Amino acid sequence: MALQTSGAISLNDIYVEGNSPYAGGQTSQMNDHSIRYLVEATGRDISKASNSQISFSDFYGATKFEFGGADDSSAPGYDTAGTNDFTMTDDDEGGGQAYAGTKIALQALTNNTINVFYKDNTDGPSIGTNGAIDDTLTMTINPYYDPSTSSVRNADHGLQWRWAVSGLNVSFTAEHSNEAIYFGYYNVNSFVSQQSYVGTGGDQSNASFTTAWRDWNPIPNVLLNLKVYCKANETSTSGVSQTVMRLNSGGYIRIELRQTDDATTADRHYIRKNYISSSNPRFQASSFDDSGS
Amino acid sequence: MRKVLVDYLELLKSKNLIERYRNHTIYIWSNFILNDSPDVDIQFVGEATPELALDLWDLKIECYKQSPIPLDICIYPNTKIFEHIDRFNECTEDSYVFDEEIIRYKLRNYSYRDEREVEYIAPYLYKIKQLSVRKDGKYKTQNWPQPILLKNLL
Repeated sequence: MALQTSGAISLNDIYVEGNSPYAGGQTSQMNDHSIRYLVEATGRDISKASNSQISFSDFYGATKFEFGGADDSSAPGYDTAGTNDFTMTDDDEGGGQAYAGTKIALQALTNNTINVFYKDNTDGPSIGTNGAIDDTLTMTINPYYDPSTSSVRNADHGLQWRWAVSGLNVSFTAEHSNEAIYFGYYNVNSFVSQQSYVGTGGDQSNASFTTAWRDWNPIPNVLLNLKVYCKANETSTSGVSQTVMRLNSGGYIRIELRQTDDATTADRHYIRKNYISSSNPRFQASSFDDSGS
Repeated sequence: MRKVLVDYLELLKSKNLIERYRNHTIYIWSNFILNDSPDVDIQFVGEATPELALDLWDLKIECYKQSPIPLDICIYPNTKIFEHIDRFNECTEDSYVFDEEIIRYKLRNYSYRDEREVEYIAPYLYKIKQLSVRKDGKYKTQNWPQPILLKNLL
């Protein structure tokens, strides 16, 4: 939820929105990246430079960066509820392969900012196309900026990223190997699974995991593609296969970013989706054939 | 009463549908009541919402896991369709054309041969404007049955 657009605004309000480690604490640290890199409201400017003057009114309407959403009404099965949703269903009425997932792409630009965009899709492990992108947001994280020296670093000092997921709730209807959910990234065009849950392992009522940090040396305009998707494929004529992924209250899906040589949490950036409701976020892949009816 | 019918009604009874969907009137409008048929047609009359569609989808999955006979769920905003039963059954043309707008909602967008306009509303919720129903298939010799309130069957 974005910060208020008028009236009183406290330092802690800003820290909470920025998911800053200073939230609720006593230390004042306006140079924290989680604060200075909140996404400003239209017409507002939060100065990025360390120790530069900053006004509380600059934070009116500012919001943390979130991913999710889909607004592709041309394709049945896609959620059209709005850009804050992260809900995807795919239903194979013939009992074949069904996928529901979202691809999140990070694109470093030549001006040292990163575009982050996402696309709900039913491509499964295939990288799919980058056309018809559902939404794009600019993340003003500077991959070459060193907060310890307040200086611009060499371009070969890159970034690291990882998945961090908490409160994951996954249910499998048939509990066979054709039901699964995957979190991973693309090595060129090949999907690499970093964390998966398969139907044979049974439902996951409250799973959490964090993948290892991976290096990313951003090359301008080259995409780093990540994906989370679930699948269901019912091969028997009378069976039902369905994989549903949700979050429990308080749960989240995050892609965490940090500068390669900076392991402190103060300089960590999140692309995230928090629990909203039982249907947001929600991925659901269904497969069964009742076409004889 | 046939055992397969008794068993299916017991299954529906176990789902506590009357209480679970108290804002909707539920009908069984299906030849399954009279003969063995490939599915059980069930109608929910009332407001069609994305939340209801998700819940009915779960119901469909629950029932299909417990019985090989699929539940064919339909949501109607009203009961206008029932007023066409007699005229449909008396129709001798290859197609029965509705003389008013008939709207219903399905959870899946199946391919059909009759005339309809389908609009995607939300996951598992398709709005169908039914323009006509073919009478040259199974309904050439088979009538539409009368709907029965589910609460009268359980």
